[in-house]
Amino acid sequence: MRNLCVTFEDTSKRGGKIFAVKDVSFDVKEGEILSIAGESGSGKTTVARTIAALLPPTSGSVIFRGIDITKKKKKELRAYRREVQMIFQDPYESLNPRWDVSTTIGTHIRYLTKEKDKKAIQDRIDQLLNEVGLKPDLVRHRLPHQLSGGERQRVNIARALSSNPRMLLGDEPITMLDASQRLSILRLLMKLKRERNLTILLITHDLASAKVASDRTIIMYKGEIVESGPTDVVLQNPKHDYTRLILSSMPEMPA
Amino acid sequence: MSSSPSSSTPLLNISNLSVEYAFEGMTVKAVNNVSLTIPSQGYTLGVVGESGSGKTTLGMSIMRAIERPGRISSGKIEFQGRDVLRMSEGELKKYRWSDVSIVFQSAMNSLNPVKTVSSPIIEILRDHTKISRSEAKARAISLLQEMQVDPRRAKAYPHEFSGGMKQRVVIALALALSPKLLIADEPTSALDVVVQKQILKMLRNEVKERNLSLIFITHEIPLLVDLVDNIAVMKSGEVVEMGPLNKVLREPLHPYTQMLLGTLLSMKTPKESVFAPASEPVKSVTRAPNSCIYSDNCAYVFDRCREEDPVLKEIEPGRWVACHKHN
Repeated sequence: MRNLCVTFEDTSKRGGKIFAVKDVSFDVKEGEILSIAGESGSGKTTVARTIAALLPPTSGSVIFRGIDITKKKKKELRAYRREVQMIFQDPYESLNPRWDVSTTIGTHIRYLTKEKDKKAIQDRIDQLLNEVGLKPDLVRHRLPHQLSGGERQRVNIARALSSNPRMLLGDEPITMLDASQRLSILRLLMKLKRERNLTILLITHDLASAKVASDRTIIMYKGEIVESGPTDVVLQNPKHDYTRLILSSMPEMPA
Repeated sequence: MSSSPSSSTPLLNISNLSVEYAFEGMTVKAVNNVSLTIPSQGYTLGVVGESGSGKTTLGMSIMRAIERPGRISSGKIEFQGRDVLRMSEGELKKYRWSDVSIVFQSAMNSLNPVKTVSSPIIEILRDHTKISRSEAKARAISLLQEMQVDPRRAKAYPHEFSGGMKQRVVIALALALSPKLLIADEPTSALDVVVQKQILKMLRNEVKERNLSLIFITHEIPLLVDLVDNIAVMKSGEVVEMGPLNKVLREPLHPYTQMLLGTLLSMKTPKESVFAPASEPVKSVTRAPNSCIYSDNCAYVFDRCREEDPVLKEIEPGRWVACHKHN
């Protein structure tokens, strides 16, 4: 079992300390889907960005396979970036509007793996597109605006998979998608977890996403972890008032 | 909707409305030949659609707030028998905010940052009625109270308020002149679930207390439960299904409505489900003109669907569908 330990504090300088994230510690088990759920301001995105090495913590460590990546310099993180990839909330923002799907994924492959052979790259692109549920012949030459939100997010996921990462961080990957596309993207992530033994950290504000997709769930509130455990346990037997409050506020369909 | 037994004028009647946008040499129909009626006070309708469905354009049209490059290309909008599309500037001024009001998702961000939260309410009251400044101030405070905003905060500035509080101010503003119809376009999308529930509950109360007619526009179907009595489902600028909410949810007739309900993500969604495969149909870049707007993805598609866009028909009293399968 390879565990990731995440411990940090974060402060903002404004005449006093404001903790975006305060004393957060948790492990991520290899091959699991872990949801970090909370409302805006809970600190969940800050946690994700720190793990993705996009943001240095004020204190604490992020230990990935025995190495504390917060103590590494940019150059030394290259290997880490191959192993840990991130998907962002806005599927459109992460795509160059002038690059077609092939170019988007191909460029990423070339950058991260130094692969040079054109045919090998093209085959790899097709393989990745198939894996994420897109038909290569139909989408290869499409530009982002010719794709739906769900399709764009699949392209982002395909791109992220191109370096065969061990872990995927999804920062609210379905929030900006139309309601009918959300479930199928979660199913895709679940499929990838099964087939690749991929570890997935899913940041979300929607507990229904956590319920459907994740093995374990962490609930954050105002920078701190208030509850964590196996998803079914946390959501069926919440111990913390805040968790109960969110659960009771969720809109429900009639029986 | 089926016409009421008495021949009273409907509160709002939209007939064959089309709204076009000129885009890089082409025209795109954001709303295509939509007809619907709000028959009376207290009638509540949820308009559901995904991005590009035309639901926001529909709401904006009712306020006559479509701006270039968009334009209302055909159809009629009648409010209590008055032709909205032919109103003069003066008539529009009386129509907007007094007859029909609108609240948007982003409305809370358009509050003037250098004015107190009660200012716009006071202004709108003074602008449209003949009350004195002190009366307007008092009314503004009581409106804020009605929206559960502490009157002591009437002199606060927007930046001092949370998102939920700002949205309450915006709703107070929309209801200040006691309109008969309120259009709410995704008013709670930017708010967290706890605040959202409070705001929707408040909205429900206002609808009851004021016998308000409501058009609630959203892409999240569960929000409509306990909020509206009727639902209209839109796709690609057209209404594909319409009827009483509980009937449509229990027995959706249009394949698109069935798909929306089948792919709904809620706490009740099982971990394994037959409706959500890991792949999905690719977005259609070109669809044959005059074909059904769902013909590219519909499981029941047959030849006629590709040649003729079905018209919204009342197949049983109060139940409308635009689908050849139901003809």
